[in-house]
Amino acid sequence: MSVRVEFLGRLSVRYGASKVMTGESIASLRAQLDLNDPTVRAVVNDVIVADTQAIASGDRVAFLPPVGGG
Amino acid sequence: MMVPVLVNTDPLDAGKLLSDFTSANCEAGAIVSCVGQVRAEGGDVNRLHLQSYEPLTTAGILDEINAVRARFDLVDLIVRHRIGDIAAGETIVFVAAASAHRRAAFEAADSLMDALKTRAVFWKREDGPDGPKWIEPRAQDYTDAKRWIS
Repeated sequence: MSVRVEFLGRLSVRYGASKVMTGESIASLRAQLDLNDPTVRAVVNDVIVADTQAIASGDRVAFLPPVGGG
Repeated sequence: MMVPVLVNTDPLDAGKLLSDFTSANCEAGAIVSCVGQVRAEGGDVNRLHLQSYEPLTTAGILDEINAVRARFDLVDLIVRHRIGDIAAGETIVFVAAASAHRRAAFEAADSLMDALKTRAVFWKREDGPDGPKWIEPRAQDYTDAKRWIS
């Protein structure tokens, strides 16, 4: 499935603000991105999800690093 | 109930927010406010960039407001948070709590600020002479926030 994936905070330095990716699940996206950091949470359609979450075309997908600081 | 806009890019006028909040809460015996602003860090920081992710950011703040309201005996509670580019010395966040007696207002404002610093869905980037730098969470903020767990 092809989806636009957003990268928040410091992740945007490594991956850009967003890009279109193809994958069946969050785990598959993480593997392509080499993004194994468990403190980075995945969000699909505004809900924080586990890596087993399947994704479908049109889903809103984002990876969120830890919040806070400053 | 209409939910006010809690988070946006407009500059925050902390003086006016406090004045309006005070006028609207004549039943309160005490009002405590906190203004968070961008530290200049001796010229090392020109501005802060705050990024949010809606609707998670606003939903999370509303949850924190509800938790603080449930815990403390308050007349009213307000939070306004800015996002986008914020210059040194400008206001990032305004929190005010009103209560019949002062202790509840002090503790409510303090605990809400701790929640905003550790759990609100924001990412902060310092833009200074050495270029942009995303800020990592601080251990002290988590220690502060744990004071309210009981």
